[in-house]
Amino acid sequence: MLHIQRFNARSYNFLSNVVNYLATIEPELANAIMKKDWELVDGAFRGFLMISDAMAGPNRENQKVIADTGIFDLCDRILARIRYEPVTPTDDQAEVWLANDYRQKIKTAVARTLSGFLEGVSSDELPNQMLALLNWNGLIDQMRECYTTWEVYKEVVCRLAYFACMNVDGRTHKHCTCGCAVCTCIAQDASNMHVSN
Amino acid sequence: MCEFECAQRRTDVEKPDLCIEEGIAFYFVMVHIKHYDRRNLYIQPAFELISPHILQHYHERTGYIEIVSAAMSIFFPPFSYHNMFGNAFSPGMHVRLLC
Repeated sequence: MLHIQRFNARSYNFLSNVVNYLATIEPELANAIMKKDWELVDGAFRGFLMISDAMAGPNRENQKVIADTGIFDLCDRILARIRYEPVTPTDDQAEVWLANDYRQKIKTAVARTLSGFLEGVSSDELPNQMLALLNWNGLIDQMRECYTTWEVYKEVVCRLAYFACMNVDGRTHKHCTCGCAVCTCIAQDASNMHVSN
Repeated sequence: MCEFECAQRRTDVEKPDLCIEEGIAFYFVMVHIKHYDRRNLYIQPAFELISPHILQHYHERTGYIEIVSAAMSIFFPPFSYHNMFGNAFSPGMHVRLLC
């Protein structure tokens, strides 16, 4: 129904229209995040979710129609263009973190769309199309970037937890016990201080 | 609530784990489509570009159900396993059914 309306005199392919819309706003997306134009960013996010939902079921007809719209190139371009901004443990970084949240939302929606093509796969046709058209090294880059960002986030949050404790508890040096390198280091510092006291 | 969680709330960093969820989504797509890359032209060479400990990190956190038959593998993705099985499956759990 989203690409052919059988009872209409003229059909509109909404799926291809959504992909065209996303392709049109794609060059502006990275800038929109920098300028905090969340409306445009939300539009892109919802566009990808709509495409992903249209393929759910699986709806093989929609999967095929969407695969032929050039969406794989679009996904590659979005993943290449939208990158996380580095985060540091200062109080005025909240805006960077918010922007990173939006980046994360869009990229997860892209991943969900790609996953939608593989739902209920019954032949090699679609996977082969994906294999040939997607930039897999780009996806690996994303995985690497996600991991690095996660490590930095975790370290930043642990450091903030440490300083929060310092402020509240003075020399008590309570620390979180999530087991990361920062927490382990803080725990060692605390025990050393306890011994020297 | 430990200090780690307090700091998370205080700084509005809702979920650092969201980054990992994103990585998991990409990892799932790649693991799934690897079965169709029969000549190992795309996915295996790409996997070799990433550090094995990062790959292991995702492997341990990506949950899916795979039904393997002679012709093809059928995957149930991590996005829907909550709906199907409630909390029966932890995020890093793989179930491989051979038929």
